Amino acid sequence: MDEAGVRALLARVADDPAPSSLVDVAAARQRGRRRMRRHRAALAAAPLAAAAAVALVLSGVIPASLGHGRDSRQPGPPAPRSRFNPVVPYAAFGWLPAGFTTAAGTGMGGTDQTSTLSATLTVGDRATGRMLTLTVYAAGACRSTGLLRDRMPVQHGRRTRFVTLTFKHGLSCRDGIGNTDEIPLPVPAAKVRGGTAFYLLGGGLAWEYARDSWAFLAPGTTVVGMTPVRAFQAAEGWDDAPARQAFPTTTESGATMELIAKVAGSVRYGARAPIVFPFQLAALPAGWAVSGVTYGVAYGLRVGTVNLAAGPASFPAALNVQVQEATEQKHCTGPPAGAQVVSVHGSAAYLYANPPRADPEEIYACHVAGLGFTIQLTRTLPGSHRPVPGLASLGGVLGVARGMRLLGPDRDAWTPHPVR
Amino acid sequence: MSGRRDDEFTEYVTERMWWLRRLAYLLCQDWPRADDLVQAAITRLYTHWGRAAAVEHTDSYVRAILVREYLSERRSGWARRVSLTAEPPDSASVLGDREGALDLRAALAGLPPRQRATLVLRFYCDLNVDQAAQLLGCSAGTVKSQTAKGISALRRELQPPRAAEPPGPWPGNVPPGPDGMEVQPHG
Repeated sequence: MDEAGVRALLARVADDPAPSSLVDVAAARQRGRRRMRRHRAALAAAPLAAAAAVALVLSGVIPASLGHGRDSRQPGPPAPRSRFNPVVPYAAFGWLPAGFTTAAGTGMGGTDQTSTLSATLTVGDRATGRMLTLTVYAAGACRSTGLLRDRMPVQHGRRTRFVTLTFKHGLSCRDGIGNTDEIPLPVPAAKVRGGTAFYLLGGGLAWEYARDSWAFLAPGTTVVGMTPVRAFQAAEGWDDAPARQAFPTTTESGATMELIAKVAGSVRYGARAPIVFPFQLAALPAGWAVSGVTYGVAYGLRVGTVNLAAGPASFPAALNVQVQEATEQKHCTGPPAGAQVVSVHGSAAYLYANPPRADPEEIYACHVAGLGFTIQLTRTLPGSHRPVPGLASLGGVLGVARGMRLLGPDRDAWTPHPVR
Repeated sequence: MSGRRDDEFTEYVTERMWWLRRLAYLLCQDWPRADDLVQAAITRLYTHWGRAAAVEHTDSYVRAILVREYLSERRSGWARRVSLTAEPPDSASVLGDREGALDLRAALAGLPPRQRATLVLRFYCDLNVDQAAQLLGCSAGTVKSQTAKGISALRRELQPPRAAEPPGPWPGNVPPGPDGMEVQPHG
């Protein structure tokens, strides 16, 4: 797949037969006019009134500070950890409702990943399409935002409108691989194992599992061919209270929230079963480290075949390595446009820039000793032309590939140590 | 005055509806949602019609509204709670013409929203890196990396499945196995 391939793919998908349009131009004009009238009225009024036209301040229900104490009668929390080992997920689900499995989580499209600051795990129920996503952050990875605004759609029948809500409290959480998520904390919930907790918008729970350490549990659904709200309504056995409301709600129905609280209360913390990898990289440059791993769950193992990211602190995902079981030779794709054929461990691999003449440099091999791999190496820091520190000692993406030890398709031979 | 404005707006939107719906469909991969997205975008367009009609490239202006509506919706709480797939999660993948088309959609649907938007802007709307960066509100480097990652992910997803039994061959396609490690007895 190259740029031409993507163009062809998009053109083909865009040519899908379209059902009759449900777009109502007259309604757009009507609503647009109302919106303009409101806007003019707001501008004419005091600034406070203008703000009030778009913001609903939820107040009076949030404690003055977050994480304001734990219930001493509950079992003690784990010691706060300011950094996680990205190759050993820091948390694990404990009790799960009937039908939920960890294998189904990634099999249904969930993403399990770890980093130095967070661990995300999914479980799913194949029969109903229900999923739960748990994200645990290291101590200090989430900080209070104070006033937080969030714009969100409100369902009115088939139509969606947007409102901007302003919350007195929220958290801004860094995931350790360059992303930050801002999460409103609208309404306090019952404590989870003694830790302060909040209901999340759209369902779910946030709780402080250790000092200055936050975890989030969110319900979701994987359902085919429906809008999100309809999909949520349709999931058998999953309470759909929010979908029926004309306004975003903070809680599921009582039964579902009870279930979510029970799952949250049984989460286990601490480094547990490691991820195993079908490869070992040669030593990384000084100042570099593994920053994150996206993995799957199969055959009772956490398998690091999806992606491993590494880099210096200034660019933690400069290097991305994906090694999987090989496809059959006949299914191997040909060389991408402009690729150079090189030899890696005695087999052919394709070396190219992706996109052409730009970062990142990439190498792809379909079949080397029962494994296939793709390695990407971005050579310049994001948003600048400065080279990534330590890059010279890697020998480019080809050097990474040639220095990598491939452990074959037998999972018994795989290793929990992806770097020698 | 308002009548003329309405006429111009209606004429423009009606004429461009085919393009708007397809662009929205490429972004969100679901026709009802695409129509919702177009509805929200043209409502917003109406409120800014004076400016939109005055700019040299009205299509670019409208495209920016549509893409930003899409990304804004994806960031919201409602979108975060549900993941959609174009294919039943457990269905077997059989290559054929029709099934091949489904694979394409599934591969596209599997991309993160911002990555998908980047590919659509670069390769369906033919924007260059700088134009896409401006529309997405990010750096050119981010557009380049999102483009590269998106192409790479599509290539992996569209890799034909291995004929033999699992394990599956490529990322994001971990085969179903026995229950995982943390599953506890029910109750």
